[in-house]
Amino acid sequence: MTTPATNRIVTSPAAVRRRGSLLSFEESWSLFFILPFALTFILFIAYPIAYALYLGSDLSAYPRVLTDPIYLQTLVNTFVFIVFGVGVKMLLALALSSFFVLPGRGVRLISALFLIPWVAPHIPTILSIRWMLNSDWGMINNLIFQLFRVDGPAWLTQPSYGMFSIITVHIWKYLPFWTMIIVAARLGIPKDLYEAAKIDGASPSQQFRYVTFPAIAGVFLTSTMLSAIWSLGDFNSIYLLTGGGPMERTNTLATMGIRYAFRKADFEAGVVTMMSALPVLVPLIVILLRRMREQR
Amino acid sequence: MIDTSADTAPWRLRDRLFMVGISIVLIVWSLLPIYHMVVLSLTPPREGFAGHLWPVNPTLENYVTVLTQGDYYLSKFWQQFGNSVFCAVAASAIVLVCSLMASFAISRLRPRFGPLVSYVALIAYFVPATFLAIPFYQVMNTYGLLGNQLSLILCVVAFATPYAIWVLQQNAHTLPDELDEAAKLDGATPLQMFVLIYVPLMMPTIVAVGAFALMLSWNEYLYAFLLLSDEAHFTIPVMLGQFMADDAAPWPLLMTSGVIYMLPPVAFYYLARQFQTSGMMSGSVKG
Amino acid sequence: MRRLGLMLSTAILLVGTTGALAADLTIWWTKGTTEIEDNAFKDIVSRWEKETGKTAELSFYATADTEAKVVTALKAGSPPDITFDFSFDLAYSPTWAYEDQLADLSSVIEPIKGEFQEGALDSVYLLNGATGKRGYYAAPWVQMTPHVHYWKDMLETAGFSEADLPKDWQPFWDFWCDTVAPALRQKGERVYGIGQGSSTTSNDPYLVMHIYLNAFGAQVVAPDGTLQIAQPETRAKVIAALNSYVKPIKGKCAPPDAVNWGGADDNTSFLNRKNLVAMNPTLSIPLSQKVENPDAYNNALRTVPWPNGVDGSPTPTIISVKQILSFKASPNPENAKSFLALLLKPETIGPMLQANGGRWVPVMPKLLADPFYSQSTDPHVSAMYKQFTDSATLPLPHTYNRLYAKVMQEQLWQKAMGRIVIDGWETDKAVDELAERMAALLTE
Repeated sequence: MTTPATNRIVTSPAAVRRRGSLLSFEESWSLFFILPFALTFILFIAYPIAYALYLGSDLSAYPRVLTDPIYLQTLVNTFVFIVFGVGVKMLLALALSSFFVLPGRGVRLISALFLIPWVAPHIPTILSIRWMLNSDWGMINNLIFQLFRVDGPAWLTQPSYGMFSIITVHIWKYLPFWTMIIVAARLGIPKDLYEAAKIDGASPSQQFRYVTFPAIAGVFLTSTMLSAIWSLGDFNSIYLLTGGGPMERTNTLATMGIRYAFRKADFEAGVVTMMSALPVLVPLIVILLRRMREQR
Repeated sequence: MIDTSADTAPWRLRDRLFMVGISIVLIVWSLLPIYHMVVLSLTPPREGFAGHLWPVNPTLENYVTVLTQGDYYLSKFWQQFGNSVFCAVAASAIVLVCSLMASFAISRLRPRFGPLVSYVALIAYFVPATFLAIPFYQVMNTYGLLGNQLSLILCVVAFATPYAIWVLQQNAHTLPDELDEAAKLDGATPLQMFVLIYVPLMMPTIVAVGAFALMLSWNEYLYAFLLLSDEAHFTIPVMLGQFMADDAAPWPLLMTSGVIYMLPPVAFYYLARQFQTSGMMSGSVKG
Repeated sequence: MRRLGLMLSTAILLVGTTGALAADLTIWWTKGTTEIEDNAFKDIVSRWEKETGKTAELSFYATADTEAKVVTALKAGSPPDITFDFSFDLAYSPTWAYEDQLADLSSVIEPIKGEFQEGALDSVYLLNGATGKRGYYAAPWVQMTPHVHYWKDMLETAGFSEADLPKDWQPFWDFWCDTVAPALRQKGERVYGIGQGSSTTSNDPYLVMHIYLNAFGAQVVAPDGTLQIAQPETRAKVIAALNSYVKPIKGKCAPPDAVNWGGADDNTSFLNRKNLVAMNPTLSIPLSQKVENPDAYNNALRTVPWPNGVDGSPTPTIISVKQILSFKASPNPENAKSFLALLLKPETIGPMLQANGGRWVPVMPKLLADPFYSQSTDPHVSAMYKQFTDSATLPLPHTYNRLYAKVMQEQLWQKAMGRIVIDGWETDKAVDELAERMAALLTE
């Protein structure tokens, strides 16, 4: 632990630097204040990242992953999951924000209920959906049978329906969060911009196009990118709903990597699988870093 | 599209119907899975497979069973509930200590390496936690912490602290510099400034950030499942996950435990709502 | 604040070390289907603790989880001292023994060798590739075989009696799919015929598939260890067996979700009367009803022999001997052995298995001769006893070739089923893919 004891008598930081000391009074204290975070970061983020890169440097794992017939399917699934999961979610969030920025107690009440999927723990809610969608005894297909005397679709066990259900659950879970982010951004737009637009005779849709959207475009873009990164790591929506099945046809890189590592004890293949996302992940992170730092 | 400053004049009937329509769709969409969970929790255990739209023979039997640990699958329910509480509280406490200290240094002491630290925190904030699960497991094995609840706590600390620093730091910039100057003139050390000025003034954000860490820990399934290995150490999500793999598991009881487990975060969320909307959400994306 | 930091790090150290102060014996055990079963095992663990004055840490896991936990911990170098899972004998122990990863349990088995059935001993007498010698690298403790169950009362509701059931292979299955299930559906009951699982996440389809292979006389691996699947005659039989297996799935006679059932979902679906017939190893399905639903146990639920094979003779059954493992890297090998010595005493394991209600069959002839099994009046235990003593038995292919364990590890049979029922492949194409992969695995 760094003790600022030697510097304590010096009052001016400038004086310290003049005397050629490496750290100013504040900086020495800063080291102390940053230490707990630095420790957790080094021990539990940086070291695991380094370890992952070490595991991923095992070249013999690449053929194992690349020749797995499921790998290509998994890449396609991941792509579909991100494009539709994030795309539809963000567009819905944008559209719904128009509803939630309205004044009134009714809207506030509905926004409180709307947030429940995001607040509620994943595991019971997603398992509830899994039960509800069970084609054999679930509520939905039972209703279909009672109404039409036919068996409803296999929501979770026909691979394409399975992906559809997974994406829907992902949207259900995370739509409230992103909607509220956009609502917050919209509420921050100065009112006089709208007044001015109205005086110029702009219709509501023109106001959205020329006032609202330009003002929140930045937040919207950042949110979309952030959501894409986090959705790559969405394990629960898939694992708890279909478990990646049937026949591993609904895996994404995240669930497939975990499956390699913890079902087949192939840690290297697991890491290699997840590293397939790096060509998308790294540029996104770099762009986001720039954007979010500029903002400050 | 309807915009914020819509006229206060009474809405036309068509608009009204439109609003009511959207409201109904939103409520059904948001609450259907929760409703389904509640229906199952009120269904007698043997009838869980009937797929009824509402509880046909509603009963509180399942709640009694869960609360009294009356079923073999739930024989450690309260202990596991306690584990969930312990992990969440411990994790948020450590997150708050680490992030408050770091954000104080970055935004109030402003060392030359401050931007670097905040940059590093930002990178850590972006990394999807799932992607580190495999090395994290190995690293915890190296540290001898596998199966220990501390490993779960530290996992939440690792992933929540960067976010907490980011949000705290943004809010810390709004505190006037004069406060620090005045304190310094009075001869206060940075430690005193931290304890006496910084922490009290940051209270609303602290609540928001603490709530975030609590909920992250409360919800965590993947890491808890991987890192914990004994029923006595499980948190509730791991116990619930076991239902998926067990023969003849009573699903109505699973849903009942789910409803009970859902109540604390929902209640907490609505109680602390004014803090959260200001700090927790809008703080996380600024760009 | 510095003091706080110091306290924090001391606390972390303290908790860390208490975590490291492990018990003298770590046991990872697969959870039973009833509380009685687990308690019976717990009793033996506490007996061991009392007798030795040492401490044991016993953790129960769900079926699929034990396998994952053990496989991962073994790779990470921190396996338990003692562990049991359904999949060990089928998928892992031959490989692990060959790779020199298992503890040699000869000192436990040798003294009580005379107690075991020969087949049970054979199944754990495994080759160690490092020493080139065979040894007892696992402890056999129980055995099981897949059974056929159906709901007699539902059969009667449909307007049939047990006497109407055909005795031959395909007619038996077709009767449920084409006659009984449609009759119930006519009455507005949303019910499926056969719980025919084909999921890669469950081991049950693998076992049941090998009974199907027996019914069609398809011997995939010859006793000398050579792979036969590509030979025209065998190939034709394998195709016929697979066709018979997937017929209910393709014909929508099996619940659609059966393609993704985990190890427990088949029990769940059947017990909730969503399908009429179930095939499941051990008596776990009826036993789950014994206490809470004795009427179903005694009257409505039936356990019957497999229908006759295609040549008209009784279908040979398969037996899987369940194994307890200890690892070379286990921290307390001596304690593991002392615990196993206690568990495998006939006086210990006999009463324990009876307490389980007969879910498992003993591997010791003396115990199996006990009236509890041999003169049972219990409808299910007596049916099980008959299946074990009357039917011919064929060993699973990994007995002839240890590399066949990888077929189970990769769930190749279920993958072939998936090709047919999900991807719509012709069966012969799926069998060719299967044969090719099998050949690759077995010539390693």
